[in-house]
Parts: sequence; structure tokens; C-alpha cells
Amino acid sequence: MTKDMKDPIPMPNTILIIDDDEINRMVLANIFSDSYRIIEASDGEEGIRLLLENFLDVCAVLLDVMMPVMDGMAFLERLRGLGWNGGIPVFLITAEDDTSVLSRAYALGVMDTIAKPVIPYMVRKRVDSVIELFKARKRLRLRVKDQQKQINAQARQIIDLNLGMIEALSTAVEFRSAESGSHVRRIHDITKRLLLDTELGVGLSPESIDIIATAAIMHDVGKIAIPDAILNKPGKLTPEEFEIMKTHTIKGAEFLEKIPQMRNHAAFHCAYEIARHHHERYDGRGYPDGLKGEQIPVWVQAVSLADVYDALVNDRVYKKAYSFDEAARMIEAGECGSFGPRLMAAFRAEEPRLRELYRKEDEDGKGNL
Amino acid sequence: MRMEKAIYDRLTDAGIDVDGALSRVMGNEGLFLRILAKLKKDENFQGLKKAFLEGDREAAFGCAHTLKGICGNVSADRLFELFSEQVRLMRADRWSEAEELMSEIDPLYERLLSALPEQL
Repeated sequence: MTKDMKDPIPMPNTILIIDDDEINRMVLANIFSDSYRIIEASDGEEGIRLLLENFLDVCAVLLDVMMPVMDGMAFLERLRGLGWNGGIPVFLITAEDDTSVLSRAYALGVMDTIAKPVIPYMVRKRVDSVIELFKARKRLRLRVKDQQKQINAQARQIIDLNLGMIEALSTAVEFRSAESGSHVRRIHDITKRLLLDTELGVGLSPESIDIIATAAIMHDVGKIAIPDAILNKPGKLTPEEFEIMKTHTIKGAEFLEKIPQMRNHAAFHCAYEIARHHHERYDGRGYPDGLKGEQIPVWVQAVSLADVYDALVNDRVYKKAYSFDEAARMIEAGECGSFGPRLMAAFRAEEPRLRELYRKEDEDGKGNL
Repeated sequence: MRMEKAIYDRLTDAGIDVDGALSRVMGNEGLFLRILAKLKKDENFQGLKKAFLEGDREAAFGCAHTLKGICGNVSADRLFELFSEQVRLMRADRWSEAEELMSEIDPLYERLLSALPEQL
């Protein structure tokens, strides 16, 4: 980097010289004073104090070994104790030729040793190179951090967009049966609450639960293939009509399978299972496959229950809304399907909190249309 | 700017490699003269002699070590060698040999001091 090119990120630019000999400090300061701010200490203790005071500005330490009060080795040990791990490069400026001193200094983390009396252009070159290396590393680290932030934001956007598309599709389908977008939102929320708050979700990570809740939104996409006359018939369906209605499970699963982007989506497996099996019953009398008991994944059962509960407490083309108490009683009495004991226990515990979801919705002014 | 020739010659006669010393301060002649002024006022040499007289080894070692550094910085090459040797002998616990070096060091150091410009 050339001198006139301003660093976009402020970089430390102070060299700390620790030497008890004033002449040594003068010689060293003279070598660096044209491009760096210089601070000087005459022993290790003063050096520690100055380093702590100027911690963010110091880009290198030039350290003498033999000093009164606190010598160079004690300084390094103290620095270690303060958590230093070489993040600021330390150069040992020494007349020592005692190799045991030098090896101990390297073991304590010094970057390099420079012999006294110093040869200026050599000291300058070696120290400059290391400082530049550390600056480049810091720049790179900050840039990576910055890019990571951007990538995270973009990933978040993509996830939000995905969820938005899934909701839009599912709402469009629900809309045909005159249901509002809040139905899919509530299926999502109820499923999530059941799995997150009760032991049903044991073994599932929060991420998996999010995926299942997202997949739950698409449980009824197969209804896109059901004719309006059947879908919106106010009265009871004939056996023939009901057979057609039942195909929304298989059609939904097939439909999801045909969208390549969906097949690669993290939620695909869950969405497929939920679309196909959300009308199975614990007693085996459901459709389309007549799965029984634990053959039905518990989280698919949770979606079925969420669907039933939400249908009961809201108006439908074929019925008026029931009260929460009545809805809970009907589910408990097995009047609206068949659910396993584990799910029922979780539902009983969670049901009072599910009511909160609806109250919150009313307060937000996003009640049913 | 080149150093005044008379001073240059006197320092050279007194055992200073003036060009080497100037290169150590990157040609900063003012700094070199300030360093010579520090050398003139430095008391480590008296301290060293006194420490030998009193048999204070710790003080002697400290003074010899500092003098080695100063002589190195001003490129008083022969004195730098002698003080380096003295420090080495002290470390090796060869104190009588270290003290014997004073007979060679003393006249050289006095000559160095006397060669320093008056006005420093």
C-alpha cells in the first residue's frame, strides 16, 4: 500500500520502545519517527503501563532484555499473563548471544530478535514487514467479517422470500375455500408451539421445528386440484364427492414433488409427509394410506391436530365457529379425529397458550376476514 | 551536510568509526552529537571503576553492560570489543580477568572523552 493511499480502516501506528538506555531509545526512535508515532518506556513495568494505555494504537513493541525493575523476559511473561498471544508483534533488541535467553524469548512469543548495536535499514525493513503483514491480516479479517454479514443478510432475505412464496401459494389455495391467509399462519404457529413447548419436540432442533412449521403451511396445497363445486359445497359431500376431496392429500404430495426448487428445499421431506398424511388417524381409519399409531410421525399428527383445532374455532363454509372450550372438548372426546395419547397430553398442556395466539391476532387487527 | 572536518578527525583518532556511527543514526548528525553529549555526561565508567574498587560485582556488571551498549551505538569499535569481552568474562565468573581488562580500557576511554567537542 502506498503512503498517500488512505487506509479505509484506522490502523494502529504507534511503536513502543522499551529500553533502559536512553541512547538506545534515541537511536531506535530515529529509525522509525518519520512514519510512526513513538512512545518510550525505560523498564518493563512502565512498558506494560504504556502498552495498556495505548493498546489499540500500538503496532509493534521493541524490547530490550537487560533492564532494571522489570527486565524483558519478565515483561513478556507479564504480557502473557494479561492474555497477549502475539497479536501485537514484539521484537527483542538485544546484545545477548546467550541462546538460552533467545530460545526462551521465542517460546514466550517474540516475533524476531534484532542484534545490538543495530543496523538501521535492517531493523526498519524487518519491523516494517511484520507490521505490514499484521495490518494486511487485520484488513482481511475485517473484510471477511463484513462479507459474512452481507452473506447472512442475503441468506435471510432468501429465506424470507421462500417463506413468502410458500405462504402466498398456500394462501391462494386456501382462498378458494374462502379461508383467509391467517389460517396458514396459525397452522404454522400452532405446530411450532406444540413442538417447541411440549415434550413432542424432544430430539428436534429449533431449526428442524422451524422447517416442520414452514412445511405445515403447505399441508393443503393439493386442494388446488379439487373443483370449486366440491371445495366450496356448503352442505355434506356425497360419497363420490368425498372420494374426490380425499385426493387432495396425494395430489398435494405429487404437486410438491414436481417443483424442482421444492425438491431441493430443506422443508421438502416434511412438506411431502405432511401433505400426504395430515388426514391419517391414530386408529388407522384415516386416508390416503390408512397409517396407524406410531406409523404416523408425531409431528405430522401435530399438524393434523393444529388443522382440526383451527377449523373448529373458526367459521367454515359448512359450519360456524365453536368456542375454545367446546373445540377442546370435542377433540378430547374424539369427535374430530383420532390422536395418540402422547399428542393429546401435549395438546392439553398447550391448549390454553394456543388461545393466546388468537387473542394476539385480534389485538393486532389481523382477525379473520 | 558533512560534519566539520576537525571534529570528524578528532573522533576518528579517538577510535570512533564516524561513518559507521552516522549510518546508525541514518545520517542525522544532530542526533549523533546529542548522543555524544550523553556519552560525555555518562557516569557508568566512574561507576565501573568504583564498583571494582568496592568489589560490587552486580554494579560492575550493570555498568560494563551499559558501556558496551553505548560504545556500540557510537561505533567506538575497539572499546565495544573490550567491554563485550569484559561482560563475557563477568558472566563466566572470571572477575580478575575482567578487572585486568581495565588497564587497556581506561586509556582508550579517557582518550575518547577528551576527543569529544567542547561545546557539547
